[in-house]
Amino acid sequence: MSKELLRMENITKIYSNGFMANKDVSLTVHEGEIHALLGENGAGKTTLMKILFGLEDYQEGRILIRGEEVRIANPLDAIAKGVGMVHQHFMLMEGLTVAENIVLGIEPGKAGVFDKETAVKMTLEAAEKYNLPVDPNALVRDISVGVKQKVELLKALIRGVRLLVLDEPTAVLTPQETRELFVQLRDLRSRGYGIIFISHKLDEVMEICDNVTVLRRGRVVGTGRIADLDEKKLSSMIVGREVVKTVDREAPRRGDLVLEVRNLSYVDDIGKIHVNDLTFAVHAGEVVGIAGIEGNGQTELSEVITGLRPPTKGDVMINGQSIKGRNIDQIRKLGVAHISEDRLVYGCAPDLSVWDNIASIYLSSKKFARGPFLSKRELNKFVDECIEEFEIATESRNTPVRLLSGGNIQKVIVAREFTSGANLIVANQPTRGIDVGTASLIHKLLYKYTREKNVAVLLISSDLNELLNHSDRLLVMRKGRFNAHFTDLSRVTDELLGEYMLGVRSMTEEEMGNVL
Amino acid sequence: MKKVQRVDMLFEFLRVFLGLIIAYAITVVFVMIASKGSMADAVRNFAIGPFVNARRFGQLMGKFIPYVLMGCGFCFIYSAGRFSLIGEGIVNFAPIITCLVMFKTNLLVGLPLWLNLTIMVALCAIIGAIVATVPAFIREKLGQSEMVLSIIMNFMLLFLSLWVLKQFLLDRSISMQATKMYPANMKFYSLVGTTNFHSGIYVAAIGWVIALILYNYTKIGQKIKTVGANPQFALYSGINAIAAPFIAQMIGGAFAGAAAAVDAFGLYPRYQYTALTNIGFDGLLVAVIARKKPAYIPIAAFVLAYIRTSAVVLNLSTNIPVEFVNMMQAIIIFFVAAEHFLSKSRQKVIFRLARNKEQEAHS
Amino acid sequence: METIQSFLFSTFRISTSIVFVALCATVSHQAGLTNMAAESMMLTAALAGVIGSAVTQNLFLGLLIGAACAVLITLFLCFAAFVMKVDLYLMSISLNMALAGATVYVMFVTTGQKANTAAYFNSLQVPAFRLPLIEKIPFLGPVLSGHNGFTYLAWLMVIVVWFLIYKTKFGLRMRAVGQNPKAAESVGVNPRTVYTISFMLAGLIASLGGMFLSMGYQSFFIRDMTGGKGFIGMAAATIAGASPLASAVIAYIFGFADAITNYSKLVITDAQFLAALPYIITVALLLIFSALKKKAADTAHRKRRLMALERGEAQAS
Repeated sequence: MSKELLRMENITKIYSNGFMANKDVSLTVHEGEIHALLGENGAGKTTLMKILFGLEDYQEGRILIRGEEVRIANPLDAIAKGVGMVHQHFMLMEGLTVAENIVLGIEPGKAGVFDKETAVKMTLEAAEKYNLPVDPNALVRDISVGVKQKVELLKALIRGVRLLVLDEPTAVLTPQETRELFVQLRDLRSRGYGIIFISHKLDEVMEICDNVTVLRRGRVVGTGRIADLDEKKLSSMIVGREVVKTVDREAPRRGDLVLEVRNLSYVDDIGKIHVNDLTFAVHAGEVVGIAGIEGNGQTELSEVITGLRPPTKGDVMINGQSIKGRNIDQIRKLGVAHISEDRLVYGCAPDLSVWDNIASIYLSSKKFARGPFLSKRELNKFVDECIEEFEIATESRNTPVRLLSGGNIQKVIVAREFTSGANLIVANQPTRGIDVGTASLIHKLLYKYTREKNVAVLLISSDLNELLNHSDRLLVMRKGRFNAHFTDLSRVTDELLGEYMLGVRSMTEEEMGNVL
Repeated sequence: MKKVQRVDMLFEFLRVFLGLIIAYAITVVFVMIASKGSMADAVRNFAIGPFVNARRFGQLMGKFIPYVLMGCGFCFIYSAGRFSLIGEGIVNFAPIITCLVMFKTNLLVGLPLWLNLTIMVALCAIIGAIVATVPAFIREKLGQSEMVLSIIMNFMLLFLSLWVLKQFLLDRSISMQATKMYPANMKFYSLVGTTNFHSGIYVAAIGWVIALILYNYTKIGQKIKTVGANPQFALYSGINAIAAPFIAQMIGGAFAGAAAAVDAFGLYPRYQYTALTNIGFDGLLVAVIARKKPAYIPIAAFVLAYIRTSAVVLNLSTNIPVEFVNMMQAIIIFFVAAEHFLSKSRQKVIFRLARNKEQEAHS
Repeated sequence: METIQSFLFSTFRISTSIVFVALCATVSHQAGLTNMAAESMMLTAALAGVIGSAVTQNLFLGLLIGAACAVLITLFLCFAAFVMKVDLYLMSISLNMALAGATVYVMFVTTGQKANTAAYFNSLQVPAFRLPLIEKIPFLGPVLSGHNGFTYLAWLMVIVVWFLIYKTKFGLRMRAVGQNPKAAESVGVNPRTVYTISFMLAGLIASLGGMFLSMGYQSFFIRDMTGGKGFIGMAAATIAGASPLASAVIAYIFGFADAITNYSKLVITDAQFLAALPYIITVALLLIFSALKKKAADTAHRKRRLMALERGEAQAS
């Protein structure tokens, strides 16, 4: 009977705005165990790990490490107590060597001088001991992604941690690199290390993990041995049965092609393929939803369509015109509006007023201008109309946007984009973190604009409720490709959707049908 | 129901106001330390000196006029998130090139005064805009610091101006390094007796109106503000985030040229700059006090002109060097530009207001 | 022949301040910050060192006082930028102006005049040194020997800074914070602490550049004696990227431009054009180097993109 390494007991955390991130969550990991921690985005996994790492406090519950109750003050304290984390986005210095990255914070040397040789020796010893071969003198900038991950592992192991938390470790790895990683993880397991494996890739979880805990809406909804489960059961635990079909929708009157994506691929600067040979279309008058776990290329897809990123291969046509060679202003003028996922970075300028934020897309157009001048009177009227139509709770059109509540900031963004005259609206997570009233308003508007104004909408969301209730057609995106297409949503359950999103199932090309 | 916004604006104003008061108080202490004679006299000279008679007030106005123009120019540069300080060198350079046209060509000889002045100001503005493109280029196209280049260029422009002066325009009949006196139809005349309150004020007024219009009513003004506030938002909205700051710096250069014209041709009977004038840096301070808004520039320019004139008056009576107001300027910037100054009180008040509003809504 | 030798000699002499500032900027740059306030630190140290050495009649104490005052200014800058959240560039510009004025003010309060301290303070001076073995080297001997202590200190400082950045634990932490402050924080290295200490070190180095002017080459303080050297030093460091050796070399190139003007007196007699010449050369060099840097960066980016595309292709197939 192997010893208990970590026990988190009845952890409850409520944020100051009332949001309950974790409720009565318990998690136990033993020596020599790889434990999967699963759940949708927003289910509470990140919060739980932040608590474990001393980055968040909690209201109820306790944490025991090796049977002893502890209070973890900060990340450094966590490491001292034997808990180490490998983040999804690497925490490495590109301009330093592997050895320097590994020993940073515990550098060897006397009288302030850095003993590089000892650092290299330490690295080689650790690399050998844990079977994670790395070149200590290579610059992190020059090594591959797979090696970077080994460096992150070594960083934790060299500090004596016995419990490793891996957050989406295979998100950026090639299949080959993933296989290598699994060999190393099995090796660590055999030496008595405990590993918490956070992932959305159910096939990998089934392959390498021993036990699993599933979170949904902040609570534990399932726990057990992997040997007793299969992907289907896991998927239904994760997604659950929560969706209530509340809205009646008229069938759309599909008009002409508005958005046509043909064989589109996008590869980023480190070689990761985010969008892999995608083909689909959106017609006037319909809402096409794209479901999927975040990080499968949806955001990159929306950014290529709206011009924030250049396509690597293939083409995007909007109202019959290609976006190739066009800048963002020109693409907007082709008829595109974009509700970005990153509200405060791309969606608004917090220090500027509501007026400034709505006027920003008209600065190169003739619409509210007379020559080089802005027709302030017309713009004022327009902004006031927006405030009224979209029920934006603001004191005046000159109030700085940073003084508005989150929901109202989103209303400003939605108002700007919806009234821009575009006939293609690309909406990425439009109601995430927004109050129910505003979300409902946004959904009503989406419906109205498609049915009454013949606008085409591409709705990207990780909220299954939203997708099933407010789309006409649904595509599921995974690893940069579509693996499901639903035209009749009355038969689709969230369980089924979850299975496609998690890769348990996949449609053949025939089953997908006509995606255009 | 405009409470929160008003509170927000009140705190912005408080920051400036308190900053000025604190800086003033500290400076008065410095004055007291340095005064060798009567402390009370020194402080009195410092405080009300500029208003004592017409000549002193004229000096204040003489400084005020170029500050308005320079400050307006800086509003554009600063609003775009840039720190090109090329205005300083433009003050020396633009007028001497204009002097070449004035003295070496017959273009302006027979023309009426108002037309000449318009041409001279326009010429200086154009030269300023052209000079300003160099730091703009190194920043927008090459990605290096426009501030460092502009400061080094200022020294270069100073000496180049003196070279042009010596080579082409030197009046050898006098002992100082200067051009001949400006002809009667090529200079700003004094509005009040023989004081420094000169007709350049009309240029300042016109310039201020142009700045207001450009900043608040044109597409380019709005683009500049948006890029400065959030460059990624500007990009996403379709605004060219390279062109806007570039143009902002050129506009700043043009206003700096206008400031150069009113100073060189209004305050002095001939071109006689032998050193950098500091008007460029003062313009930056004016824009900081005015919170980047042209609407507040006249007040900010007046405050700074007052401070500088006080220093001159003080110098005349106690010999204390005028440079010490530079210290005061730094203290002003420290308080006015410190985001953290008063931020806690501001958050508390806004939070309380928001809570009250919620409670009202529930009952 | 002799002219060339004395020309090279004055190049080394003139470059001394610029090298110190370039090293100061390099240290700040490695930590991820831009130090635009070097001029203020130089002026402060120049005056404080003069007064300190005159009052204590001890050269070493005077130098210490000068350096300490510069470091105090640096601490104020850190406070304003990191605690009160004033924009770093804005505060740096104001500090430069403020100290230019403050040094004149202090000079007035202590000596009663605003031009220089020559008549009033009997301040001490770091002497020149003859290097017994070096001066025997043919041709190079008179070029390298006989310099002021500060000039030799500048050579030494290049090595010291190089050692600090690449061989000490603090240097490693500095570079780490400069590249990825969040990652550094996750292993227990506090970015704010690193920023502050780096700035203090940078201020210390800049102070030496200032004190050379008032306690090495001459033994009095003149108003505005830095004459833009702070910015030329900064320009050198910007072009050189982050390497102390490259910064020093480019600083010497700029000093070379300055020295040319002294020697061009024989050919170009126009005083104003001569005065402008070093700045013209510096501006031209800045523009050229910046353009080259941009081209190199673009090429490197293109190569990385190609590699990324290949990796993508490999995965897809």
